[in-house]
Amino acid sequence: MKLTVRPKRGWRRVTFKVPDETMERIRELCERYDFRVGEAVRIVLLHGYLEDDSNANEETFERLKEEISRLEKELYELEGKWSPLKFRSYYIAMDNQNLAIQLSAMIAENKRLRERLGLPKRDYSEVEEKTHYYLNFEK
Amino acid sequence: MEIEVTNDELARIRKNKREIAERFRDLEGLERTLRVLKLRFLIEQRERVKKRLVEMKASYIELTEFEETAKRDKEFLMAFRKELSEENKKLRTELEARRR
Repeated sequence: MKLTVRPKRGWRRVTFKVPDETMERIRELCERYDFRVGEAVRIVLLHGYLEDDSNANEETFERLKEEISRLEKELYELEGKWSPLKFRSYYIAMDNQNLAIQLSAMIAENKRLRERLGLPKRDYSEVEEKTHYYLNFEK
Repeated sequence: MEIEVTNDELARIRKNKREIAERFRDLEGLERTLRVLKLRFLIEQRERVKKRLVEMKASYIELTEFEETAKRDKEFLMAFRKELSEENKKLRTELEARRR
């Protein structure tokens, strides 16, 4: 098989004559280790080969795949719970924002009435802290 | 078969033609490399999922706490609204009575 290597721009090319059985073997290896043929050829052309690692074996691959699958399952379950929780808490915060709007008006009225009746000022600090928070709550 | 590369990569390939031809003959080396790369990719993938899970757990806990606080705040605000509504009604009546 003729392998042509060409640049993204320009006309200069390099060709290699690769025996068909070599390409067939490369295809087999790619299928076995989940690589695309183009990726393997780029390794041959540009990156060279790596030193062996004693952990690079089928047993470790299986263990890692199982671990990834378990973690993904846990992640998807949590994502499934997260969306309704986000929806619920958002609507509670919106209820609180509406309450905060009502309470701001009621506090203003209460201040005015107390002033006109000569009554002492009331402490609204705790409720005002909460109303400020929910009035500024971002949608 | 055609492979597209950058100009720099093409220059490197032209320079290393002999080593490349040698590598095409050494398919054991290619197999070893693909095996090692597969191990690296699987480890990277595991770490990526682990990181996402840790982030998602933290975000879930934070949201659960927020929901609890918001529920408590809602009860508090509703109770205060009731109390203030009654007080304002009483004060309005008092003010009206004084006017008369």
